[in-house]
Amino acid sequence: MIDQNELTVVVSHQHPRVSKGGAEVAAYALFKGLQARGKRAVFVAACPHSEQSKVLDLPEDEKLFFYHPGEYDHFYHIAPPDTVHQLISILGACKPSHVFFHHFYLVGINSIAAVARTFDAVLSLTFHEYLSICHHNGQMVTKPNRALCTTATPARCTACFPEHTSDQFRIRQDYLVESLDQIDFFISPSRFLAERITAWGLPASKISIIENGLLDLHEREPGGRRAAPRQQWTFGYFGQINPFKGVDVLLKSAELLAQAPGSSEIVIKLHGNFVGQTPEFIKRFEAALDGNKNLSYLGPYEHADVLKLMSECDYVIVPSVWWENSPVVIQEAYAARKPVITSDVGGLIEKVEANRTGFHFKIGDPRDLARTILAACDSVLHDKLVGNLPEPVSPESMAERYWLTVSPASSPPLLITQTD
Amino acid sequence: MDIKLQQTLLSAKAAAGDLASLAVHEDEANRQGFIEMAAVDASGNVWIVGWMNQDKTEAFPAVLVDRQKYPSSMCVIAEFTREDLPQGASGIIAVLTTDWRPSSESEAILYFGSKLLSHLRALRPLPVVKMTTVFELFDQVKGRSRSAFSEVANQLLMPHSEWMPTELSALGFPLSLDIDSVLVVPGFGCLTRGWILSPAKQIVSMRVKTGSSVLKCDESRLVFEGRPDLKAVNRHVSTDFSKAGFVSLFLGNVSSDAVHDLRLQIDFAGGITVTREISPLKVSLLGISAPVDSISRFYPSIQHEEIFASLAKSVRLFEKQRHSSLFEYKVSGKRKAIVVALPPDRSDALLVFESLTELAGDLPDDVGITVIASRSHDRGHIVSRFTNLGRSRATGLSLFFVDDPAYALFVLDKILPALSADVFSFVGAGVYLSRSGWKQLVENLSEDSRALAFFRVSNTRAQGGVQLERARSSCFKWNTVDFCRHAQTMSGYVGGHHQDNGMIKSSQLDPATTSVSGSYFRPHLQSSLALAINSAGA
Repeated sequence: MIDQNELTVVVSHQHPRVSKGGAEVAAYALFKGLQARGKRAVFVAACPHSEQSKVLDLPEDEKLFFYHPGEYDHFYHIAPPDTVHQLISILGACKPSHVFFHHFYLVGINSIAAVARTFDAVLSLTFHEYLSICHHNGQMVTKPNRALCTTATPARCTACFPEHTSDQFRIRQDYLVESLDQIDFFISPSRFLAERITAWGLPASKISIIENGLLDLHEREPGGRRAAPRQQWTFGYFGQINPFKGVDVLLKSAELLAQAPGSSEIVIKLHGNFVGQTPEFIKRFEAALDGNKNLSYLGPYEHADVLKLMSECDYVIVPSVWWENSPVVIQEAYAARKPVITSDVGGLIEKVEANRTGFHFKIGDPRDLARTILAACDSVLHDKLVGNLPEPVSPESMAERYWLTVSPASSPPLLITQTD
Repeated sequence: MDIKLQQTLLSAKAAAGDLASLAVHEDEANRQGFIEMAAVDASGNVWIVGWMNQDKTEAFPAVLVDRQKYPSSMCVIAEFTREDLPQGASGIIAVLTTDWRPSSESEAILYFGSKLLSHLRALRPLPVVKMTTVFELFDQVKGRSRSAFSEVANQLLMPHSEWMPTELSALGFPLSLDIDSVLVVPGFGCLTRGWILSPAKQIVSMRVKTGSSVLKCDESRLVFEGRPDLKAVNRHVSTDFSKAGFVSLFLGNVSSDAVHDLRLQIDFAGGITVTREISPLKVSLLGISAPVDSISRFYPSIQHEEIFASLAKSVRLFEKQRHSSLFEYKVSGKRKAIVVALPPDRSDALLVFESLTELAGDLPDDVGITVIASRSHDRGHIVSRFTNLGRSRATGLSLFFVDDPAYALFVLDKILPALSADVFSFVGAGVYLSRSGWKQLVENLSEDSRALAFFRVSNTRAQGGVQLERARSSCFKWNTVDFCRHAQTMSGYVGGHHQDNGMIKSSQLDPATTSVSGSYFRPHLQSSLALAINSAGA
């Protein structure tokens, strides 16, 4: 039962007005879900000084603390003193009973520790990637080859980062684990990530699995079903156009498909924006488009339009070349009633059940992706998959599950799984 | 030097060894004069110029104190009237037999007398001059000097042979030579690598002049090596290229200040002497522009040579001397001090500051925190973090800057008195303490004991609690009086730490060892040569 006098704070490492990454969108979804459940909630987000103009005129229940990116220590995740003081000051005015941290990046492990020392509140931290485990952008892929990494040890980590000693990596782990010991609850959107976090050093008894809610479900423009029978099969990619998302794999696969018999009925559409890609990658991308009339790039898109854009596809492809966690694009695909074709690793295969809600292909293998795409061009199979697709989690449902986890009255079993 | 004088000085120095155990105290009432400048000659004798109240006609024992005690002897070889001095005082030029080496940062006091009550104080900073300056001064006063040693002084201070560079083309015989590299080890000598193509004349001897010091070639360590690279550009020269290169050691008391004026002089058969200037670009100063391991490039097995003990002593002395600078940012002391040297890595330093920030608010009132940072650290981050510490604690926070916090122990005897701390715990650069480790350290400091105690850093998160082997001097607790007394005789070490830095012997007690939870930021990697230098004489 929700106590109307309690105030909860959701702390995010960015505001969705500044950045639309999965973590900040999920944090905002929780905030809105709590409010929809009648809870008094405040959303507190970090914001770079340079982006202040994007977050003017926020509602009273949304607060910001500002930072300079150059002052944050990316190795031990220590925020500068000013960040800590701003956060403490904002929370001091709120006097929260519960604080939900989403991500510690840019907030700082030290800020979380300071909040734990200062306030008598129930604290939880939701993980959205593997940053506590892996210094390589939290992706758990090696440098420079970007091979999947299965185990982080101080000795292995120095192979990727020779500028740091194994002693430093050991200290990093000790410091993070010791600091996070002050958190009451940990939440992971996927079992895969939860198991990694447990193996790394956090107690399994504190970890729960709760899927992220999909924001603005009801406000999005719905898409219509594609008419059958089909003359053409459309496969859509939605997300940042970068190699880490497997775009290179998709482009190569498209090239192979163009040479296959019957391939004229296969169309691949890419949606998304380029952010900080190398000139070499952009050149490859443009060359692939030029050489394949069945491959098209439709440019960036607004999240409000994603369901409509997905409705014009038959399948959504998520060809990521790293483990992922719970990509929001999969939830969006389910909301649009589209099966998903995804790489066969990590959080991806957890969110997409093979032959039930979509298909898997061998990670990084354009030939296997091409074979999978060809096999997916089956109306009976497609309709069966659509019938199995789960309903996406609403922000209200997400908030309810969070609240059940952190309530003192409930005794969640080890690793709660979401229920439909 | 005159043999009689030399013997007298050595005898007096030996007597000074007994005096060195006496406690010394600088009392202005017992001050007998000042040392106004100093120089070091090629034989290692120290010459001082200044003034003195007392008449001293013979060599006498003395103890020179400059961060540690140096049993010495002194003989006034020139004594003369100066108009600027009080009645009864005389200007002096004196020679010291001592292991002390003057520098501009010296804080030297020369004690003498049967109870070491009388003293001469060196100016601060102390001008260190060339021997030619001392000679010129002597030349001015020798006519009116009252000292019985003036004739001896005249011989000692005569300027060296002409060292003007030779024009090789004017020699009348084919000769080409060059120096590839010189490594200067202050107080020890120069290691040199070069080549000589001399098809017509045989080499008899070599020497190097640096400032006013002349260093002779240690012929037992003169090594010849092949130079096939010279053959390609000297095809017209008919000589043995397999011995054209040489590695040599020129022993002598070379000062760190004199490295810019090096000259090589070679005597050839037939009485011909050739002098060559050595370009400063080819000269490295050990510890400053060349790491300690660069010694191995000249003599790969130098730790097995008989001169190694002398080399090690000079290297360690210089390490201590060159890490003696201290810059005070803020001082606010407490009776008990936690002194923390920051690690060199920026992220590591910020992590240590985070630990101190968490610690500061919960410390007992009589405990302060002192941070020792590097002048190479990002100053903005250090100062902002230090200021932030002040939010948790109004008093008892101090910050100092040094060249390298790894050598913080060498300036600790200056820091602790400034803090007015009675007891302290020291956490060296490179040490990481976990939250529980800091708690253990503070609890230990709160105990009444003032005896030396070591903290053994132990990674308790690792299975079984891994004890990490490092120098014990990297984390310890002691009282200020005993540490400062120890610091006067503490040897320098490459890397700043070696085992317990001699503290156990000084404390004369079996120190306790307590485990604290933590780790080290970097592995303690030391070359075999550095380890040998630190261990020499142990």
